Amino acid sequence: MKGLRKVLTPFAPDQSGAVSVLYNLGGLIVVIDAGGCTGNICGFDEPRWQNSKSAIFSAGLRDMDAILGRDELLVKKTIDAATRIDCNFIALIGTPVPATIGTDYRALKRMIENKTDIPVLSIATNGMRLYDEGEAMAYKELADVFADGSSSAASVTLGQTPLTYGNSFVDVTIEQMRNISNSGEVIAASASGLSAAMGLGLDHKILSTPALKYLNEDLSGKVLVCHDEVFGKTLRDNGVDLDIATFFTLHDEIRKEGDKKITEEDEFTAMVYSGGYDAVVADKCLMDLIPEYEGRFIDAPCFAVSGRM
Amino acid sequence: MLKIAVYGKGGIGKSTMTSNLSAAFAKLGKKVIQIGCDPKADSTINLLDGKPLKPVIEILREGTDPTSIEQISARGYGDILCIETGGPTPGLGCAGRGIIATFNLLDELGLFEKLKPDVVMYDVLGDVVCGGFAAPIREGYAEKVLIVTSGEKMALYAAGNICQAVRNFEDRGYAHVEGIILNKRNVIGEEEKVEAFAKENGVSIVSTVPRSDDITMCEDRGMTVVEGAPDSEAAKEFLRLAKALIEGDK
Repeated sequence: MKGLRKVLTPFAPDQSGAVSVLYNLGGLIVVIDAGGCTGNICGFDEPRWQNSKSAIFSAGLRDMDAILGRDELLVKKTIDAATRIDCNFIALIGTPVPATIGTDYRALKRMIENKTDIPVLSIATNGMRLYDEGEAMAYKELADVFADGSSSAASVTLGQTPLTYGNSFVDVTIEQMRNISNSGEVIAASASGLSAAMGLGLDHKILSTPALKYLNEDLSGKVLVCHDEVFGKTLRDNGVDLDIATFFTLHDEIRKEGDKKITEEDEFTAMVYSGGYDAVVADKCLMDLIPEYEGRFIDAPCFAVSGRM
Repeated sequence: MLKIAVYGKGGIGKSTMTSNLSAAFAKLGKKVIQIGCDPKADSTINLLDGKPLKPVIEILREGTDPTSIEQISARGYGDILCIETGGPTPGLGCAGRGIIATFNLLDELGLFEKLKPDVVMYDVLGDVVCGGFAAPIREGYAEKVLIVTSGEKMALYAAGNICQAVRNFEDRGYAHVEGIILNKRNVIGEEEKVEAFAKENGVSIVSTVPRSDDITMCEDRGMTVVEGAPDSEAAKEFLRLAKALIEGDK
């Protein structure tokens, strides 16, 4: 079974990525689910939930909502909630349930916009992709909805969310997204940032600042980095001889010979055992996949993979 | 780009009308895509010399993730690109979801961006029974709906339901009803009945297709009447309608 996890826990899905980008922007975030996805986002995939609250609501879908397609009820509940809290925008976040019953997010967006002046973001995540794709979709939607050509920011960092970098996250702001195409500098800090920058046609620099601290580790010899692609590229750009393995997106812009996008746990195991690596840089939970590996293992946590900071 | 969804009661001749219109557009030099949105997957058969096309859902069922448009389509008469969504085994799964999954795949493959068609025709199963069957008229897909009906009571009943469904979607930015194609069955008082229906529903009859043995004989040979009997009254009517739709889109 493709993508089956025998040792690791499932990785953060796209809806968690989308919420991660929007978390601190002062919006009303409506996760269109029965409740479980919202619980997963807040309880497992969003480390900030313990210390800083965000207006994240579940649509609370029930069987009859799926059968009857009661979009009007969802629109009414959303507008009711939006009038009770001060919000900069309303974001509709897709999950497997609406994906399965074919909810039309663009129609919901239009129906809400017909009844309120609050900007509406609709993000058609489906819970079947991984978090980096959901993050990229959220950046793209922010740029599309808020683009107004107002003054541009000196620098914008895309893709440095807690799901990839734990506490070393950098949020975008709505102000930054208003004229992102004229920003002085756009930094793609992870696969999602790179997807978003490319999707929006932005000139960009590829750099993971949080990866730089790993240059203090012993990265001599041949190294395998199993993390985000930009994390790997940043170390490579600083002279480390490495191959990149990633469970997430691997763009052609980064891929070099020896790099691999992996889907199965076994692919990582095979890569380590056959690659002759002196060191492996990856989240510690991946050690369970390579019990016979005898080289150095350098722990680089990835919250989306292990829930560790 | 002219994007049209064809709806109507099961067995009323949607695929015949759609294929002939596609063929007429192609004959007028237009670049055409026809997407069959029916689990029966026989919408495009008369554009393809009577050969059935492997539907997208069948390809996905086999575990292949298509990476190109060529893998899920075939070229037919007039270089029309033919696609069939297909669906689950009757009685299992969810056919509407099959249409949505196919449309998502077409988006991912950049169908419209890459091929830049002049005309896209969607041939949709009988009635708007669930969200999946409304997918072809969502924003970004068809902008115009043609409803095929005869003067038979049940065909008009289904046409009424479709008009109502489209009206229900007004606040969503969906397609609008462009008009009715009267596919004549030669029932008593047919034209009067359909005219009364059109007036009642605020829509116009954009075409009246005569009952024709030419259509049947051409379909027996796996082709449209536009291809197989171009001088017939029916073929001329399809060409006239195609020209009118192009003019109306300008």
